[in-house]
Amino acid sequence: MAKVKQPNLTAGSMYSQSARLIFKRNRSLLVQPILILIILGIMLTYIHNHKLDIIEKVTINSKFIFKAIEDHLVLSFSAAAIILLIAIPGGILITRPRMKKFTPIALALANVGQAFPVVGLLILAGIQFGFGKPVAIGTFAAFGTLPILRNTIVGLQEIDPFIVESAMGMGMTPGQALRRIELPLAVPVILAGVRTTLILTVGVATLGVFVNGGGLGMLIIPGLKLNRQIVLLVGGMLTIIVAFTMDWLARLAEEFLRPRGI
Amino acid sequence: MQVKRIKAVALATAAVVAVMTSVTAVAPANAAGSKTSLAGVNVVIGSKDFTESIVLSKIVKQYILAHGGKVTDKTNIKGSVTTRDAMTKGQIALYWEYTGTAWLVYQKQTDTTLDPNTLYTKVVAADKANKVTWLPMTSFNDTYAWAITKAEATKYGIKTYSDMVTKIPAAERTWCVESEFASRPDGFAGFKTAYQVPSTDVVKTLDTGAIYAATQQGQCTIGEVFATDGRIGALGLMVPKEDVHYFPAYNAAITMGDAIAKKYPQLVKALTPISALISNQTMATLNARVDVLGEDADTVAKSWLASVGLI
Repeated sequence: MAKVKQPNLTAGSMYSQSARLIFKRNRSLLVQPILILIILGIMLTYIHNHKLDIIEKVTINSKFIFKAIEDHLVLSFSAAAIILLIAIPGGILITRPRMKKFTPIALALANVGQAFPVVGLLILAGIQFGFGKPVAIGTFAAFGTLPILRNTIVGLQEIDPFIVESAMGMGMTPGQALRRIELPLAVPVILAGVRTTLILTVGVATLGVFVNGGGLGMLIIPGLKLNRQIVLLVGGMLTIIVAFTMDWLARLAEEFLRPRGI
Repeated sequence: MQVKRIKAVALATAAVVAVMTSVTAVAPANAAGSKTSLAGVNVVIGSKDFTESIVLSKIVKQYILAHGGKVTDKTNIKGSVTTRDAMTKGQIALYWEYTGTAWLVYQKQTDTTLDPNTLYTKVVAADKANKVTWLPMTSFNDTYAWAITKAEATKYGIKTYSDMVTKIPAAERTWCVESEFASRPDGFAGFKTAYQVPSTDVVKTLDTGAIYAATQQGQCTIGEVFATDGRIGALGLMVPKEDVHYFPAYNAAITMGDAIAKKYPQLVKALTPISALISNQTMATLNARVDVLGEDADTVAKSWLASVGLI
């Protein structure tokens, strides 16, 4: 961030950054994939050096594990997508001058969502609406909405009102001010919320196993109950790997989307 | 209160009479039980985190208290492995363990075709190396079982597990199992082979507790349950007969560290006859009193002990 570029209000050039430049400037972005590879390496070595017994073989096999990862990704990505679709537009909407009075209500609702005990809510929802992935995704979405909604609201509220006023003074409509000034300025805070949400949904998706949702809980829960350390550890490590990967991708998105020079 | 007490007394008398007349082997043990003094006994009692394990440990607790001993109640420990570790490390003196669990989980064996008595003998022998003493096992066998609604059973005329596979139309058959059961060789995989369940059948993986309600509702046609769970009767479910022997035995027995058994021989002697008195029916009734009627586990334990004349 040593060189400050001239502000440029055409959206295209504001977001375009070459990948090489980003990695050059921010070496810490390379740490995460290296860490992921190390965990993966430890896990594979561990499995390779362990003689699997008949119980472990049921879960520690590529077919079972890939299905679990696939289900886990479906659960966490769908939940995260729903959250993004609800929380970002919702956050923008309730920070508009006319809607401001609803901000506390929306935050209270999101707080309730996060305060619910997830397992209990999952099972109640399953009994009510039928067990399966949709119920799991819906519950996880309700649970994970808070951080991103709050970050969107806070990100927009923190912008100096004089900047927005100046923009209007330059002849921008409120919509233009939102798109060109407010949102780009709020991007870092919003994206921090996105990252929190992704990690949160990956973690909570391990509970999908309780409502016929599948996922990496299919390894973690039996590993715990049957006292098979390797099954538990593989489930746990894969969850970490998935979470780290998602977080890394989100960090990349953050680097690409963060406005320069405003 | 009055009515309750009269009922309890009546029950107790009936039970004592029944026990004395039908199970002669138990009668002398019973007599010894009520005379025993456990003064000087001071133990920590644990249990796993589900109703049956808690009720069983409360029975031991109330028994020791009634005979002048001292008890610290550490029941409801999360997870089988944690409970077992607490016992082997001496944090708790005793708790009830299941033969099948010890065999498969702690001793890491895989042969599940053994009959209850052989399994018990092998488990006890193997646990000698771990310095764990096993008291005699219960006659009840809290094994895995399948439950269907009574309505379904009548509609299709289902009496056995094989009937479930042959008589319920494949399109309507949904199996609900818990993740542990789905992933152990003595669980669903083996059952499917033993009963020739078509691989096209729908299988849902749910939380153990949710299966009972989901089966009652019809979200699951066939639900994996525990044989002595009180909710089976309460929710109008029934367990067909196991016509091809498949499920391993899960008889319960008090397990304690060798050190405790050596320190309190009078306790071992006094607790020995208890397990023989607990049948499948008894256990299901006691579980239901806690799970369905909402009674306190201590109260249930105490009243049962009184009903069989042990206190």
